[in-house]
Amino acid sequence: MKDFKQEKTRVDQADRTIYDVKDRLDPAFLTDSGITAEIVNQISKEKNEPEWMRLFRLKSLNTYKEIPLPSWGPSLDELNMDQIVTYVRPKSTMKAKWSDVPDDIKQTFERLGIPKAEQKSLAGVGAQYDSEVVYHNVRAEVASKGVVYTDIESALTGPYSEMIRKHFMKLVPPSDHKFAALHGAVWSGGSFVYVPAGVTVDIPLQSYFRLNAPGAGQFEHTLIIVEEGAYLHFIEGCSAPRYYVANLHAGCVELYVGKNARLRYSTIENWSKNMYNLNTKRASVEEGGTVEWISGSFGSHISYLYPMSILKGKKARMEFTGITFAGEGQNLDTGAKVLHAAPDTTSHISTKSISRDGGNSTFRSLVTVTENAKGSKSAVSCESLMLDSISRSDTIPVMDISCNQADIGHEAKIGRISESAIFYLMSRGLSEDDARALIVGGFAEPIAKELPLEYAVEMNNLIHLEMKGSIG
Amino acid sequence: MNTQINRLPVPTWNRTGVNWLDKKALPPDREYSQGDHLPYDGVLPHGISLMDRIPEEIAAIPSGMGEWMDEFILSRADKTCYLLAEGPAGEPVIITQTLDLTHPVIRAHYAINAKPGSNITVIQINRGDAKDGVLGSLTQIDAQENSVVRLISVQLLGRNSQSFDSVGARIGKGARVELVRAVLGGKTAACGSLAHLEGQGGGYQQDTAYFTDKEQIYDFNDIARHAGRETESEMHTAGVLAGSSSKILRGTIDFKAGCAHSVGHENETVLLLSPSARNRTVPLILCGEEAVEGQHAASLGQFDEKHLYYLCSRGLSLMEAKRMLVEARFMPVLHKITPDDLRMEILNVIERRLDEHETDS
Repeated sequence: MKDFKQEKTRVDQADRTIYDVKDRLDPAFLTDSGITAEIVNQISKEKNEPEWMRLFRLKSLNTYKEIPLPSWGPSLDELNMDQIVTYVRPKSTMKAKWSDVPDDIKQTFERLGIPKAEQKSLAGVGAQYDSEVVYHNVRAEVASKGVVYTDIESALTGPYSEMIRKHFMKLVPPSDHKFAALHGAVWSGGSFVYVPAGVTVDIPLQSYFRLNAPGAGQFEHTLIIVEEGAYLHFIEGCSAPRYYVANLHAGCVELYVGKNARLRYSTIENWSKNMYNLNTKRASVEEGGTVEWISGSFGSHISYLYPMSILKGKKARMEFTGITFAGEGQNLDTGAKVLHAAPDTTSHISTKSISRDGGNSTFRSLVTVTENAKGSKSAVSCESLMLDSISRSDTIPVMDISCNQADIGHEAKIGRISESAIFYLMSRGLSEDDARALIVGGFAEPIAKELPLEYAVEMNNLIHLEMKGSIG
Repeated sequence: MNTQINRLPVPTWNRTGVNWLDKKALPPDREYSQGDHLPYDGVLPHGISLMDRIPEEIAAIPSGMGEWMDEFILSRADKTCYLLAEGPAGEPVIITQTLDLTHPVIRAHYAINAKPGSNITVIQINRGDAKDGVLGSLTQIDAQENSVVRLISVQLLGRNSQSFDSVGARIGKGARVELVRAVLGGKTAACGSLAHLEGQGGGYQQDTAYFTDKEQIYDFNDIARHAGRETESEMHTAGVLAGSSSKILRGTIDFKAGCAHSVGHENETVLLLSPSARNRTVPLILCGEEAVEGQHAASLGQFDEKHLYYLCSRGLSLMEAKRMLVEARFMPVLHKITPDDLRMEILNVIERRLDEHETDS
């Protein structure tokens, strides 16, 4: 058989032209860099928030100061919080029509394809620029079903204020970790979604987050409540132009999935390579409910990202499908966590990763099965492809099982394409190059197929594979 | 000095409690010396001789439990056995350590210096019991070019004792090291192994069987570190947890840059018999080399009802069916343990434990 050593598979760097356009920095207001009680009070005052939220922020700040940096994962030594500006307010209030959004901001989102996607195939869109939501709209026919899709700050003082207060940072408390506490102190922007019982939102809602200011942080908060028997697909996308100073993203997503409800949460993360992406996402799933995570991680300099699902009701389910591309200068530590806390719950985690050009990809997972999760099942599968020997790929799964009536399986593999698979396809008439292309295309396909491509505007731009010869 | 023993090569969330062995399990701080150093005085097969002292390069071979445990044993080992293998296989070297009232603490240091082309099998059997008994052992193996070293370690201590068993192996070109472990006793048992596959074409095979019950705590840290090209490792663990026991297994396949065309496989199967047992499994693959193949798999669960039904439909009682399935789980490891009477002794311990579990349930 041919010596496959010479030719390598190439995975081109994504074309970032449209993402790297920098708008002129012209904010209406921005805080000093760093994080102090004065800055936190300033943010709260700018937003005219209820007093309980201001006090919540200050308490979170104290918690942030007490908790040390994590002793595991990629190094955060170069992240200097004293140089991060935590609040940048653009010269625009929130609009419900794109024509009312200031031209420069509108053009940025047009370049990213957001208004077009909204017209074509979305039930509603929220667009955040730096620290504030600049556009929010939901189709009338969706709103008429009682679906609420609004920016979360408006919801703080409106008819849903009690609901927000009841749920806000209860699933992810500030004490969870240092950057959850930071989020609690300086959060700004984000969405609130409420889907009443029995309502199916047939087409997705999307939020898009754009961070334009260099050296700034984005700390949006997404809260979604899907009541009994309802269905929602929510998509989030993000990007930022590349700078030579660090940017920070410490967002928070809290999802409440009611009895027999279903929520699909898709993310295409394409932050620039100066971004520290320290995001926290968590879902609570009631009896018979299902949460589906679809996660594509393509950007950031350093990522810590482990969506967690708490299966608290009988027969609750979680599906997680993720793909990570780690290229030059990237250290992407991603994965998933699931807690089986009720009988007959099931979870399935399936991830793929590709490392190239010195990129570092780590898959980290935790499956916990408590003693009362009788009849529960969990399967974790992780596949990694390394395209050169200057990159790294690490797999660090943990299974913590305290129930003798559960079935748990885990498998992981790393390596090259199986020669017997190539042989099989060639025996079916494919050329060797076509056989390899088919296999590698199949490697990345599970995430691509889960996303509605016409909505996830960046996916087609980001996955571009060029096959030549073997994969090393 | 780092006092974390059985440390995970790359740490994970601290809340999981798996990054290293809890300090509470460390041997109590007390005077251990029991008198003069006692070298091995058993019969040696043809081709095997004793070394007066351990060569420095072998003493420097790190083990799976980490530098604190290495120092704990090395600083005042009271039982030593430094073996030199220069020829082909003869009979195995059998070393038995027994805790009792007059010897409640043993620190044993072993070394196996396998010269090129040699072949040696060493069987370590740890037995006995004593109040607050401790049996700690460190085995350092230098498997030189094309040598074969088999180490069989059987731990059958009583419930009042703690066991710490650490192995470190350097595997040269074309050499092969096989580690077979049966861990059944002690109130706490910690095992660590680190195989450094340095030479091209080197191989490492590890097979472990364990059975915990009552309040036993077991902790494992096994690492196959591939540095040389075309090296191979296989690590297989089969275990049963009953009672209120708990166990952590950390198994790492570590591909270093330069180990092209190496292959590493790891798997663990765990059977949980009781609702209050706790299992934690941490199978790592760390990869800094492109052209390798690494796989790990773990499955944890209960008796398969269909298998039980099938066996009972063939006339076995439920207890007999369960015993058969447990023994089948352990057989791939037990088949590798010699001599036959030792294997039978282990099987009898397993059967007795199963009976006790059924009685307690």
